[in-house]
Amino acid sequence: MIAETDTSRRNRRIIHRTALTTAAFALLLIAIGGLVTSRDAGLSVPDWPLAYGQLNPPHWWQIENVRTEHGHRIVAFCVACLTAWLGWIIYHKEPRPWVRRLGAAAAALVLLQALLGGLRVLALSLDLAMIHGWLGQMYFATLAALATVTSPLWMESESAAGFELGKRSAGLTGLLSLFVVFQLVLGIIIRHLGGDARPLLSNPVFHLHVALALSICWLALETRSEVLASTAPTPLRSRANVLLALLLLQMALGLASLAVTEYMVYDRQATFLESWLPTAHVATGAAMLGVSISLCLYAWQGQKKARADIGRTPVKAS
Amino acid sequence: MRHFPARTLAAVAGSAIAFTFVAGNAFAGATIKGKAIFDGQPPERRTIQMVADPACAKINPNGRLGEVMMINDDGGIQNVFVYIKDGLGDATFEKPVEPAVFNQKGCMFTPRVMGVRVGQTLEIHNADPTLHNVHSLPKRSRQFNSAMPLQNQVIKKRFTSPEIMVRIKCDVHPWMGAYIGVMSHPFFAVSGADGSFEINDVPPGTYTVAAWHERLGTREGTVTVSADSSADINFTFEPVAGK
Ligand SMILES: [Cu+2]
Repeated sequence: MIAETDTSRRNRRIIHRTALTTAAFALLLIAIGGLVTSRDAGLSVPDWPLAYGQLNPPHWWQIENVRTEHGHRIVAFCVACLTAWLGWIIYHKEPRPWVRRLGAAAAALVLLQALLGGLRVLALSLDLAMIHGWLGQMYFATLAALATVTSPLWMESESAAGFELGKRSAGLTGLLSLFVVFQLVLGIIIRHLGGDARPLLSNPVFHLHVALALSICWLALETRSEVLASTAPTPLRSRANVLLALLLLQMALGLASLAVTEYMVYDRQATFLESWLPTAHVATGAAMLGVSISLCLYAWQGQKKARADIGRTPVKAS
Repeated sequence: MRHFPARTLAAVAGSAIAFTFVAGNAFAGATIKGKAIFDGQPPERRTIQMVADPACAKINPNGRLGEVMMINDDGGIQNVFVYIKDGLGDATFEKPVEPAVFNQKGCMFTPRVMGVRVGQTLEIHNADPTLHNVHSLPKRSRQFNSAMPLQNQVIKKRFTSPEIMVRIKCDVHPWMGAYIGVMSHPFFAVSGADGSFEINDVPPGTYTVAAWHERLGTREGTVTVSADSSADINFTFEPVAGK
């Protein structure tokens, strides 16, 4: 390991902060995207990339659904620029090839995501709307991974012996991330079908959503006890706690959303709770994915280190 | 035709004009008329609040009554789409030259229920000082979603296949909804405020007549008409749970 120069340390700090900022704005963007779905505002601006033939449609700020959809596009544009900037500085300042590839992936994903959003509007396609919702989450997961692997804590674990998060943590967090990704698919289907999916209590997709929620609950609890019992550093231990806290919040938001939307009337403006509870559920889902991915990366790195150490340890004859 | 609502007249007239019965024989048209009746306690009409768009709220400061369930004291149901479903055989009918007119006024679609002919021009107007998007959701024709940002803007559309019914929505104003029946013949009508309807110039014959309501479902009946006569047919709708 080459000793880090001041320049490379400063570069690393810039990359990490940009990645964190981008991830935070991407989470905001996902929330606004969720709001678009909650208010069924996705097609309230029929053209793309222009809006009603202009850069900003008339009175767009005053009309709730147009504000929601056009606001989503404006924030998306800013986040795309931020991601392009992140990609650029990673390309120029990041020495690790696999991190450079991850940075390129983030930039490619945001571009693809923008095109998909536009195509969804022009093709009036609900299928594309669902893919757009899911790809947004995958893009956010990529940013969460970038923010993780460019952090000072990660550099510490890379240069030292790696962090030990417990034997089962790699498997647990891997499964957890996978389940959250699949859970997002189910949530997206339920939300985009709107009234056609209801009553949810007699919808098999919703039953699967609940079953998966319980499985995720078990995985998060196991992950937490595994990490807390290990020698993992404090930031990772608190991350395991944050995961559980997010999960509890997520279940509460899910139940509240169910209560509010199960018998909602569709031919009127969505109420405050009808708009915001499911939106918070979507954003918390994204946050859970981010924390799971981050823990998963540390767990796998720890396991890789452990394996390498075992490989190096001479076998003693007993 | 004395107390016949203008809305129904417009829907019937727009399409009944200028058709010829291709079978060739000049016929004396018959009339199918009747009433759509609600068998139960008429539900309260919901008030729509339009605060989500200040321009709409200015036009309707106290909100506006919803048009989904319009039932008068005698149980007459407005906005029931009545049409000949079966019995016309292979007869084809010339499509009207006149366009059908569909408006956006006071941040509501008017009419809420109407019929057009396949291929007929549908003129869509925006009478409001705000922007709308007209979004059609047909299953058998191509969907469209058109921006109408300007007051007094007019656009023209067509449906290419018959369909009962095509939902129209405005995604800017979620309370705005309408249904358009796309017909291959001119024998349809929309019930007026008292629930009555009248289909004119029908060739003599025996027909299956259907009546469609967006919440209450569809009813069917059979009717036989001879030349220059009129026949009555009524449709009774029961309350639907939770509606
Ligand atoms: Cu509108």
